[in-house]
Amino acid sequence: MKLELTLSQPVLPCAAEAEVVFLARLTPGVAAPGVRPVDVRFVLDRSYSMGEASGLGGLTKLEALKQACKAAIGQLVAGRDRAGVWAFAAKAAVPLAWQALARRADLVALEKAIDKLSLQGGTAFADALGGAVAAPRDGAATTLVVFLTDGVPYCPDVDAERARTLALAERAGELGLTLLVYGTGVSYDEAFLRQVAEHAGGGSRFAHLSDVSALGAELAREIQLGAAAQASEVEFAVVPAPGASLSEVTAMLPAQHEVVIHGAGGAGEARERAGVVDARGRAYVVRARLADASVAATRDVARVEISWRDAGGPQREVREVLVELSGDAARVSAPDAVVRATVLTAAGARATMRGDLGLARTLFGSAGNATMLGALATLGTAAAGGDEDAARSLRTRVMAPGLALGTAKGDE
Amino acid sequence: MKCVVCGAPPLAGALLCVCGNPLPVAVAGAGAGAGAGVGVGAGAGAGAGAGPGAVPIPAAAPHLGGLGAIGAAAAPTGAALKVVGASQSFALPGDDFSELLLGRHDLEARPPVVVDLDLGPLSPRAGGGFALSRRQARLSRRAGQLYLCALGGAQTLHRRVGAGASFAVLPANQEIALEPGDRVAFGSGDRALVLELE
Repeated sequence: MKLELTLSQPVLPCAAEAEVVFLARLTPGVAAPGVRPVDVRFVLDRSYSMGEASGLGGLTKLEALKQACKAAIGQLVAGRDRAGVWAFAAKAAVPLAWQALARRADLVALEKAIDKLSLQGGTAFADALGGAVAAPRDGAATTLVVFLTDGVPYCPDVDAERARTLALAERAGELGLTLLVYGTGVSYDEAFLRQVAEHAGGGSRFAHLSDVSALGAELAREIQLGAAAQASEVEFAVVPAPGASLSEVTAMLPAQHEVVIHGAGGAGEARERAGVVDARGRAYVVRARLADASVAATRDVARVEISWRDAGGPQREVREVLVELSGDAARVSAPDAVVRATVLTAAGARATMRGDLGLARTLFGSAGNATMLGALATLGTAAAGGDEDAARSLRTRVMAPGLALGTAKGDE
Repeated sequence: MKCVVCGAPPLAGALLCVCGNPLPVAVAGAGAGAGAGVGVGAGAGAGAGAGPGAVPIPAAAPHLGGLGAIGAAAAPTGAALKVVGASQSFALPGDDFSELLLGRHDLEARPPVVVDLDLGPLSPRAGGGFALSRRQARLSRRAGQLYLCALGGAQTLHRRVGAGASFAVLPANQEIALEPGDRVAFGSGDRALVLELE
């Protein structure tokens, strides 16, 4: 693992107060592909609504889900990986208990278990999710909990169901599991599912699936990346120096989310369990306020800490972020283009989530992010026309900036 | 540089205004002094710190960035480009900047074209196409003086304030200084988009 820090402006003008912006990137070293075991725990909705058309190829959502899961299973390796299947409707069931996939026949059994899923009434996912979270964990494995639903809890005590689901998500994060939460259709509670992923933290994330079939390729990629991941138990922290305070810490990879700043009064620090870090790495945008910045000097802004476990055992690295305050305007540096584009892209995503598409367009435009502008032009237009599926797809798109942390303006 | 939308003075080092809009990038001082020894340094710990590394500064300031949507309110201070015959006006940063690209977004181009000031919605179409090029012209400000450079494609014309009614075609890639009251036209005839520097 390597920690790279890039300041927007290493030299700032002296001022009563200043803002220091920097990008912290965690990048793995060169991995031997496919060496890490992958543990996939499918938590799948089989409520009656999953019998509705998925919109493509005449398949129902459940049929499309089965196909997608089978595509993912094709990436699992007998003798290396583990898997289990939990299904839910009104009650949870365990079509395939969590187990090591020792032989090729175990992979076939996994496919059959998913193939046999049938529709039932009701929706209560906490028991199924609880089973998946409680299964034994191998610290050397990349563990993915794939949780898909198209509905909201439909059970005697909905509030308790929701509370328990969030608690389980948090527990999953503590255990270092990556929760991949998917919603499909327009009946599920998007805000709640986002909350579930946020409670798990780290690399966990939510995505809307306009087409369930797309899940197959996505899971296949996740399994490949998980098998090649080099570091686990990754923890990232930013601790402000005296006289500095954190105003924003946003994780950008593999999906955008805010990192909670704990503590008030300017002494708050941000900490996150980043779980397993694969080839995509992690990236964080940090904005810090520096008080009493009127005297020309080199100032300590923050300490960035990262710890992880790899083949060599536990590792740790600590870096200090310093900035120079100068009274000489000629020495003041221009903002780093990548940092600026990343900050503006993150702000554009937040504006999109608030529904302020005009501001989002301005921010993505200034970031030179043609991909996001394109998403706004297509999905945003459809969403404005009342297409809820497009609106959910747009929010998923902007919150998953991908590897391109802000793109340079393309030449004509 | 003040926010071109709300006019609020920015916090030193900030990239976003308190109003949420992106702050323009000033070019003044850029490139001088690489902040040697300052930036991100190795600290305590068992990891393999990479040693002190001053963050490289771009040789030239990055492009200015978007000025907001069409019709954005002009900043309370500084120059502005007013669309002649319309109510829109685009505030220009008061400080120096290296590049402000005028043209129109084309998201279907490969690679997509994104400009700083998208005049596409204001540009009359000519014969099914646009009268305005995607990359029509470039504005910059150095030592307080605004300069315009035509980039080719659709023609760019200029009329100096007080110099009569005639516009002169600007050769591509040659800068001219702009003064308040000067007019710039993109395209020609009744399809031209005319802007005046205020």
